[in-house]
Amino acid sequence: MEQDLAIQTERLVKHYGKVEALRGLDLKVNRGEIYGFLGPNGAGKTTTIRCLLDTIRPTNGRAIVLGMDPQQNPVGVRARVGYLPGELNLYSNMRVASTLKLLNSLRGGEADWEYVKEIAERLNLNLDLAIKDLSKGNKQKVGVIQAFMHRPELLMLDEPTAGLDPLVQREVLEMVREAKAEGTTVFFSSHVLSEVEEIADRVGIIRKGELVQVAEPSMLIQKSLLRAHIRFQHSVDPKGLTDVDGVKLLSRDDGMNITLEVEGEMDALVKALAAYPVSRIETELPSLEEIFLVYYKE
Amino acid sequence: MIAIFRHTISRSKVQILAWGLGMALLGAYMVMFYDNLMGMQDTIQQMIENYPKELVAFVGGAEGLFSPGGYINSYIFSYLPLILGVFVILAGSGLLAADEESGVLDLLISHPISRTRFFLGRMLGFSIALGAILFIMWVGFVAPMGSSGLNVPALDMAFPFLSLFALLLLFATLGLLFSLLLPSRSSAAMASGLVLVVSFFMSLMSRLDESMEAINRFTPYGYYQGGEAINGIEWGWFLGLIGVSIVTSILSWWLFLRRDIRITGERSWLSFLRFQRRKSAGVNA
Repeated sequence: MEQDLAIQTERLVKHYGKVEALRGLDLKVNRGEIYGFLGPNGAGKTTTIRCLLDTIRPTNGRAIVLGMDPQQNPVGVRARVGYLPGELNLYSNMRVASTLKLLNSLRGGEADWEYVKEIAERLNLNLDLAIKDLSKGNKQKVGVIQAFMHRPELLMLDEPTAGLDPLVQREVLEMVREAKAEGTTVFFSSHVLSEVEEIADRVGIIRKGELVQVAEPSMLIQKSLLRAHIRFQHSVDPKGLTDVDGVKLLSRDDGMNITLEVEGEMDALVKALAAYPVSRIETELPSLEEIFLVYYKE
Repeated sequence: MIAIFRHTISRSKVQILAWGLGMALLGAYMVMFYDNLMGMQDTIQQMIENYPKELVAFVGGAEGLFSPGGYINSYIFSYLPLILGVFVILAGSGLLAADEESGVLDLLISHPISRTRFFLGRMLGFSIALGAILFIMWVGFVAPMGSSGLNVPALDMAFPFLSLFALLLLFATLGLLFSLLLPSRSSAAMASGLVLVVSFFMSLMSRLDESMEAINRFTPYGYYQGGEAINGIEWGWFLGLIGVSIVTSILSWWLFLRRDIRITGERSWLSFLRFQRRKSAGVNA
């Protein structure tokens, strides 16, 4: 196991009865990087995070977090990690401040309360509110605060911007960037491609409990299916375009407007288009689901 | 551990006050009612002779009904474990499972606290809360004692509460153990409640039929003295009940250490039974 990594798993296996949630996951997250962990629901993202925190025990394999084995030293690992669960549940009969104080007391009162108030202000959250009165977005803010409040060395964030409005999403992403600038490693899962592309240094795609690809976000987008909407000056026969490798015709209106699906680089298509009277080209970024489809076909 | 202990006490304070004060008021009323009862001794004696023996057994038997120990036992301590049993079984079965089913345990346990310390904090908090309820009750009994013919010394009055504490602790830890063995908190509460009720009826039956006493000795109620403890507590019985509670707690702790904490909700009976089948078939899941 490499000690300079923030997270490393070796052939990590987790079974829930007959269900194989993780099937030999090998993962390496460098210290100080922002690592996006992507995959559709049920791929094993949350199971991985929970194995790393020792809230569940792997059936087989090994994990090392910040140089420690979570099963041997769970308290040591958790003391240096800030965790935001994908499904955050809080005591409904408590207030935001008392909830954060309870969670802070489990850390031995490590967090600076002035810093807590500062984050709450940034996220526009009133600490005096009762948990039962909070919207989903406001509950998520409580989750974000408790994960960041002790300035951890490693942040494990399961869908950190879920339920937040766009302005607060931006603020949370900014906090992640600031944490990275201070040397924090961030391991996060997300369904929003734009935020993964925006903040992640590297991305890992998990499929049925196995890591199928690790790359920079821009590489993933390049490799995935792109959609091109082309308008011609007059009706044309698109055969010369659909003959290009990796190009598929999705729709064609009156011969002047076509939509193509392009796998991989655009270069060959652009060259083929040189022979056509093109009026306008619009390209569309793939959704995460479309990216997954590419990897799931392989 | 201190944080979990303090939080457990803090969230139990309403129950401590409600149960403690409610039962203390009942106790004070019963203590003050003693003199009235003594004034009606002959009438009541005649009534009891006409009662079915099953009903007399329900209130702990007619023997010594007018003695302080018999009175306290018949009118309060014979059925008190059933009433407080509901509280302790719900509290015990929910000590860990309530937070697990509501999804809060996943968040709490991902903080730097070991499962052992978490478990001890919860157990200690619950035991103190139960002790506090019984202490408030004891005060309710002792405070009016001077103005009543019952006149049991405060220390002697503490013994029935010690006996009650031991029995209730056992049922609470049983609820806790079942909550870690069965798929849900509600099924654990039902199973422990069943043991409580069966145990209570075995105790009644043994008063009606002496041959049942041998079976009664296998139930927790068989080692509960109730009000009779004011004449001297059976320390062997008390320590026996506490000992079983400790063993049950250790088993629960062991199961909790090995448990995969659920994100939220109950486990399904289907997956629970399937898992048990695979375990008995020696399949490592």
